Amino acid sequence: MANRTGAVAVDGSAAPPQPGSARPVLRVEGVSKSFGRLKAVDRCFLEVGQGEIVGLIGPNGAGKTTLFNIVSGFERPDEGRVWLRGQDITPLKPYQRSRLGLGRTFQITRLFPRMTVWENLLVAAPDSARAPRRAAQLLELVGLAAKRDEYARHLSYGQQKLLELARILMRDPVLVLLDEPAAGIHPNLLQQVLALVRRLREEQGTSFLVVEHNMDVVMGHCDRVVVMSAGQVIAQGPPAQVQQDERVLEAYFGRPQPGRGLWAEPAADQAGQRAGEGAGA
Amino acid sequence: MTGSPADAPLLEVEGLVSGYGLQQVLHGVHLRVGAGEVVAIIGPNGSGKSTVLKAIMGFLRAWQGSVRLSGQELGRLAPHRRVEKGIAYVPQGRTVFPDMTVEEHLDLGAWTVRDPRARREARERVLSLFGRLAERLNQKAGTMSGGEQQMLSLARALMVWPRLLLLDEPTLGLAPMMVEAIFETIVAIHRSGVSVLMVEQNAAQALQYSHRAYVLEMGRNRFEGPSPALLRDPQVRYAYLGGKGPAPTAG
Repeated sequence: MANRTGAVAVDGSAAPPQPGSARPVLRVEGVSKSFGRLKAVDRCFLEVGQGEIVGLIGPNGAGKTTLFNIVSGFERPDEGRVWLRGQDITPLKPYQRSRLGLGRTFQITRLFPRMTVWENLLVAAPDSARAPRRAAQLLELVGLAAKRDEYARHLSYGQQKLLELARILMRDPVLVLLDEPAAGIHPNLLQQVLALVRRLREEQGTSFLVVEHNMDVVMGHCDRVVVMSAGQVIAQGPPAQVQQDERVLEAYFGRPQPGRGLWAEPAADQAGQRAGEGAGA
Repeated sequence: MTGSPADAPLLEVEGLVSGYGLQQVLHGVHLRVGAGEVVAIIGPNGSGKSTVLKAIMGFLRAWQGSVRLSGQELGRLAPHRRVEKGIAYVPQGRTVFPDMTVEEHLDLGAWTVRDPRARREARERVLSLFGRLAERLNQKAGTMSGGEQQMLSLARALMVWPRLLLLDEPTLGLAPMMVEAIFETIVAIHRSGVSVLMVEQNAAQALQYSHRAYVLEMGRNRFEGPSPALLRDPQVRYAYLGGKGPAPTAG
């Protein structure tokens, strides 16, 4: 990873990260968020470069969704800053971030169920003269042109996810946050979503930050993987490297406690006081 | 229906397909729990572990497949009927009522037990397992620590003195010492004659505290076997990250 200056411009007027192509689209800087006594996100740093697809993974309760909510503006961090293309967006509301090119999908799709597919797209850019043309293009792109006049609630779950993604694309975002895109959708539709993500990255340089539990998707389609555990970023790197990382494996799998359990491990180095306690005792 | 109840396992799940609304989560899951066993279900996030328990309990309908208790198909039996048949369930999270006392929780747990003698016996057994609760019968649950609340959830479920206890992430969010205490309590429950099927995120310790285990992945069975063997198998650990792990070395 490129080295970056630690300098932070507080007034937001000067772009603090380095200029040029190395400037990240998203920079999360020392962000923390507590709920009561629970430190959900604990001094997290994270960057997404232009055209980069970054996976955000971690066991349940690691803080991924909270971090997602902080980046998209649904939660306010207790400390730290969020930068989008060099602009400090920490104080901005979700709709303001959306105007700056940040889009997000939700685990459970949030369409307008009693509006048609077409109307769901147009609400994303109601005042834009080019909106109808763009909407038509996007419907072709996600393969929903034939469903144009259907109510959103009549779509399959996977189709709803595609529509939600198309709606975000109405605003030509620079960064898209995908919250579990693979959850509960048909494998064929999943392939369609993944192909679309790659195509947007190639053709428009769109960046993606993806929370996903399906490891085949994460490891097969992300350029880089960031791993959170207990609110902190514990590892990041290329998928193959993260898959072998002992800290990551332990975060997911836990750590056996020597000499404890329902059955005792008869290992030579653990032989001792509890060795007589076998299964089915 | 196949097999006579006499030789049927306590719990047998076959080809279970289920999910939420349009979202299919389980794609044909099988598992068994024999009388006297502690069985763990482990697997990555979103693999369907909790969904299996909800379907066994009848909170979710089985879209396909079967759930049999001692050979008897449970079909579309309502959850409370399943409790009467001998299955108890401790949901994820600490589902206690903050303003109710320990005593009131125990009474609530015994709601379906009509025979006063059975109630009394269950209460005695439960209080002997949970000594700390016996000292705090009048304490409100909301003033207890997370670990104590989890103990109370276990105790409440045991008040029907079930044949099979289903536990959904019993150690979630607890401090390491409390995690150990919960697992030791599960051993004590097992020793008192109750079979246990637990879903755990803490895979390593769940394997240490179970006889056998099933590893689920994306709603399907991936590995199964005796827990000690699964704990030693590096493939199981790497499965959590979708990897095959390092190439096996000779020997």
